[in-house]
Amino acid sequence: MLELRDCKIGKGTILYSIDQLVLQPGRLVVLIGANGAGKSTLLDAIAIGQPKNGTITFKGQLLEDMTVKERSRCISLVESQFAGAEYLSTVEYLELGRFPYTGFQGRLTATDTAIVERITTSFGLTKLLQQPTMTLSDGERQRASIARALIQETPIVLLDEPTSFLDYPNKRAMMRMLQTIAHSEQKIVLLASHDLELCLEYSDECLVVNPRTGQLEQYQTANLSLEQLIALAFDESL
Amino acid sequence: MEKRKNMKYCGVLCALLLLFSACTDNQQDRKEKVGSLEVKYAKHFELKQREGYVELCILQPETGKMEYCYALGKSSDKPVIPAGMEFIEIPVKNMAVLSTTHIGMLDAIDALNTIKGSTDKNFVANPTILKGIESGKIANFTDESAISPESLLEKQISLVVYSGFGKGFPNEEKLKRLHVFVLADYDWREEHPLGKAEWIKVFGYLTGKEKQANAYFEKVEKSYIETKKSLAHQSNNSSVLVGSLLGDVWYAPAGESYMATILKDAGANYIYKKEKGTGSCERTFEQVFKDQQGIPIWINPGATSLTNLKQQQPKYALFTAFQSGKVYCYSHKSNYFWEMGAVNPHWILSDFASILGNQSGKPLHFYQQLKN
Amino acid sequence: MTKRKVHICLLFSLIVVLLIAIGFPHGNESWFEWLFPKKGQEQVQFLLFKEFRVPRILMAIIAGAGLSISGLLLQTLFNNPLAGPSILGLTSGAHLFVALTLLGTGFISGPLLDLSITTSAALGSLVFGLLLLVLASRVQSKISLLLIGMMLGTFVSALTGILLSKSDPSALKAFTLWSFGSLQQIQYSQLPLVLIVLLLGVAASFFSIKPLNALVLGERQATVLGVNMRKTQWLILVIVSVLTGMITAFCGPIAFVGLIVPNLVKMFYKTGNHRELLIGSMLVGALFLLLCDLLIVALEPYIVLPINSLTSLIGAPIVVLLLLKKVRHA
Repeated sequence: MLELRDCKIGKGTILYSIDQLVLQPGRLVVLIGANGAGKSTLLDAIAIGQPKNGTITFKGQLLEDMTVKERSRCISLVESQFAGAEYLSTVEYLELGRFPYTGFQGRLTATDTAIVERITTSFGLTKLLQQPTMTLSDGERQRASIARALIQETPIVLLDEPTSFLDYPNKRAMMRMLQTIAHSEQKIVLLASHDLELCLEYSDECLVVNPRTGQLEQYQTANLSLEQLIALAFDESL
Repeated sequence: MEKRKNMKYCGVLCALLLLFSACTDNQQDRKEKVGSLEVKYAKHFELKQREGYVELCILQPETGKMEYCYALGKSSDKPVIPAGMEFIEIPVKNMAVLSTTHIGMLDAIDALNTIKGSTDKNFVANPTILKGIESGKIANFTDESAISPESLLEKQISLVVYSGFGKGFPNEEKLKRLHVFVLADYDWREEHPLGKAEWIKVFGYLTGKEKQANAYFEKVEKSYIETKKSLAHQSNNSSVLVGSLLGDVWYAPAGESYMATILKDAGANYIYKKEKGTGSCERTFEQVFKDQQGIPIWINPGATSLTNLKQQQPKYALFTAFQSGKVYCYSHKSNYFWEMGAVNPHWILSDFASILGNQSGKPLHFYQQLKN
Repeated sequence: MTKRKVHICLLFSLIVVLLIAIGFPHGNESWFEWLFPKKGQEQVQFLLFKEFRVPRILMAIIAGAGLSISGLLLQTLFNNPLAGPSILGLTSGAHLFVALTLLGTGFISGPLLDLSITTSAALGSLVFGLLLLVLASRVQSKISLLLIGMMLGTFVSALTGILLSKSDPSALKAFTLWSFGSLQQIQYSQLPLVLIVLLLGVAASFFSIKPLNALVLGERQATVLGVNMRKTQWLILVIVSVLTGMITAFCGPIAFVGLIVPNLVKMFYKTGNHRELLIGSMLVGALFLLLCDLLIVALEPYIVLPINSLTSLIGAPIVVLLLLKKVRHA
């Protein structure tokens, strides 16, 4: 389980604080907050340890004490935007997901290749494999990003607004898939999102950046209504 | 009584006749003086004696046309100067010279005291001039653009002699308004060794020491021609390599150049004597390596010792001349050579003759054999 | 065509060009004259081959490979296709130290005057490489480091300019000649050292392949994937400083090779895998510089071209083409 204690989140000025936050595996957790509230900052804090204050532990071990390699087998991150890299083909991009496990020159073993294939198929990316990442559509690229994170096979998957470029049916499909993965593979899936309805529909827990209290508040989704959520996060009533 | 009267008339007549002949003699003398003054070898200047002044014309090396003409004379003689000619009051008491060859020429006619401005002290070898620069009595001008009007006025310099390069001197007009004249010296473009030395006459006329200049030049000319004659019957035509690498390219004097001429006069078989041109010719290092096989003598490699030479380029050690040890370069650092060589080509000729083994018993003036 | 086949083709081409270069007639010789010398010319031809041609040809290959590797590493590290050792100010460092040695205005450079140009160029690059390493550890963003490197280079060029303006013509000429670059200044006896340094550099750069592959996705993602940014930065800067420093020391500055070759390779390989890019860059770089030198030899009877001019002559239009292509893509 992922535990955060006494964390002050914010680059420069402190945006909000977290007294204690515990995330259990097998849960799809969404992070809700206004723009600029500091959602990405929290994800950064967990993923790369910035900013450093308070303690973040996973299964009792401080993230700070982990080597970069250990951490990479622990946490994967899907950034909000992936513009593609020049000359990088989709299959090469996906294979980079196995980075924490490959040897000296990054060559993939048969196991690695199998994992890549499996996830590629389940995400419907097989036809796009040889295409350069720059020529993919925004939606395709986003799917590829999430696929890559899953290829990394980490117990914690962080996503920064992963569905913003998808059309509605795909948004739903993505959320459903994330929920399935969290439950079946017992991962902690934490995503920041603005799609409030979908969040309420699929997530197990909601973390809300409450501007009034300056705290990150944890709620079970079952106990939360849309109006409550909006009131908490955006400090206004419908 | 009548005889005495006759005698008186005769005496007066005689006196008148004498006077008349003396006058006519003067007239004739003056007529003889007007005309060209002999310039035997130099191609880029002309001297003409005119009424009350000497006309010095500088000729453009490329075209041979007149670039500039000066009238050298004394204003007390009230000479009539044609339009377009600059009048220079002689003897010039304070001048600035921007090339060390000028220092050499003035030194030869004992006129160093006229130098009040000199070229970059790093190029000067003459100890008197160096001392003058140190003490501040002589202004140090690093190049044409570094001449400040203040220093010219302070030293009361009325003439600036510079190595001509075809284009006008920077700020020439402004300097004229300050009564400072500029004179382009093209001795460096003379190919004939004696032509180069003959420019001493220009300095002679400028400083009022033309007699000394002419005498010095005659001495040089005589020595050069005599040495050349004595070497003409030599059967020992030693081969010679000249030059060195600059970057990846070897530069050597071309076959019609100043250096090549003196080498030929010294009885050398210069390796690139067949190259057309009066400047330098280029070769690749490989080409020179092939050409120099078996050539026993190497002149002007631009080094002070064999070790120094090897440091510059380790492959020089493969050269025949290097291995036989017959490499020669200027002894007093190159400054002395450039200063005194132009006006004393007979010394260079003698040096080459000695180096080639065509002459013995004479000491080397400029060159020395490189030791380890 | 698989990458392996491409590499084999390139290697084959390199060997062919190498053979051509070895046997090429200089001046009015015949092909391979050193193998079949005329009577009495054996010694001369052998010396020509060993002392003149072998060092030149090998240096072309070494410099081409080394500069291309440096260029590739820097371009990925800074995510900038126009990065090269000169951008970071590494070559400016060499320029400054060589200028100090040659132009020696007493009050600055006393001890430097005794150093050979080779040593001072190497020192200059290494000192600046170190400086950059120190700065890199203090600076967060890559763009800042790149800008700092550029400013450093500009500042140092200004210093060099001042030195040049105060110097006498012969020193100026010597500096200008050095800045033309030359593959012919290296001696046969220095080849082992240069080869060893190159091989070490190549071996070390293989350790950077994996991190570079991830760096393509940006620093943040690379860190999450497990790349130790500090170590990687350090490794790359050291490799580039040493390789560039050594090559600049023995050849003077050679422009553009580090810039164009990696870009050419990327354009044709269309891959983000730095193992292929590294091998490709080495081979193409060596081939490019060897061909440039061959061209110079072929033109020698008519005109002697300095290598730096030739690489820029060919390199500049290629950079323009690349940029135009980029604009069309975007």
